[in-house]
Amino acid sequence: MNMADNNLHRNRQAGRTPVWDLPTRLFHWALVALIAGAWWSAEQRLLEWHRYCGYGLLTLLLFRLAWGLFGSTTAQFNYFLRGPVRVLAYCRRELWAREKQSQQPGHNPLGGWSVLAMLALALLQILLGLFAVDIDGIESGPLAYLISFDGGRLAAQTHHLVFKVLLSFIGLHIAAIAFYRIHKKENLVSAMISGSETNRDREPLAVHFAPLWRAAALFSLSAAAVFISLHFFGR
Amino acid sequence: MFLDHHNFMKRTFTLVLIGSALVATTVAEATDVSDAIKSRRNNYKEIGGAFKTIGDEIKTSAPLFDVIKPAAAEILRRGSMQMDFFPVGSGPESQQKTKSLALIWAEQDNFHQLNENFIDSAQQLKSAIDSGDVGAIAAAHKTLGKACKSCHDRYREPD
Repeated sequence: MNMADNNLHRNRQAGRTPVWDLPTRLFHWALVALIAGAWWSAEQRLLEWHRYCGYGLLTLLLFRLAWGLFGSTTAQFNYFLRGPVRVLAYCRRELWAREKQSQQPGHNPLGGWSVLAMLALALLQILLGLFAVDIDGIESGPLAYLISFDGGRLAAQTHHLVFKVLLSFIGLHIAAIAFYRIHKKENLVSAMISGSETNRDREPLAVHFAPLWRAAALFSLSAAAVFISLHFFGR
Repeated sequence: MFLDHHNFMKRTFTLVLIGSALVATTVAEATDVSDAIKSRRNNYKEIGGAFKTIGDEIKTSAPLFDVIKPAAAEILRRGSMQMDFFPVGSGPESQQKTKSLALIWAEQDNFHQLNENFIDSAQQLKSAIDSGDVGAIAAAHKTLGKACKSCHDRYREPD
């Protein structure tokens, strides 16, 4: 019995079922903090800090993509991205239901796509930021030297626009959590903090938890990729 | 009768002449205004491009002088032309696409002063490049960027 199984066992007994592994939770809250930091530093025109937030976010996002392939069950893309039939069935039968359903642990079939949309938007936002140039030409992304002033301005303007779209998705995400809390009496925030949810009237689905060393290795690889790319190609 | 007719024709002719002149002036002014807006936008874009070229080089900490020297000269040349592209009537009231704020024409003295500061800063950047001191170039580049910003903050519609 490895440590994860041990935890699972202990948690089950305490009336809670583990859902989110530690790396996914750390990723989530670090993402929240860095997006807030990036937003704040942009508003304050602290572009040096804004760039650091961006590099941190890029590292996090690369890690999350890798974790979506090699991580724990609930973090995996092929687990939480479900086909249109399943999404439609969820919308019809489960979305409005007050009683707890025998749904899969982790993201619901609709929310899974929303998560993917937010990840994609965040990644696009970072890529645009790498090439953005401000109107005074004082501040620019580390790869802006590769394109023209007009191209850099276009990247900056799109960077503004995509942020608004990303904020809308974050707003929707928070609204959905509030909806779950009020209408369905489920506390998704505490699950994302503690990693477990209260036991349900269903057989626990086998959630496999990937070892922490793998998360550490993937995170180190992501950080190294960002650092080396910026060091050799960035200005 | 003949005389009256003659006078009538004469008056009509004069009116038509004045009318056409007015129309022509208005059209000419409109063209001048749209030309001015286009020219100033283009001029600023070229300045922005040259400024970016210098910035991109400074970031390498070993700037190519063959690249930044002409760019700095270009900024100075174009900066000196810029005030010709802000004729009265070329602000938001022109109904054309422009980010120039009406405040420019309400505060002409300050606006021109900021352009003078810009030209001075561009001159200093050029001198710094001529001196070959990379630290001085970076500092002058920053000062020039602030000159851009000082004007944008007050007189340009934010993005």
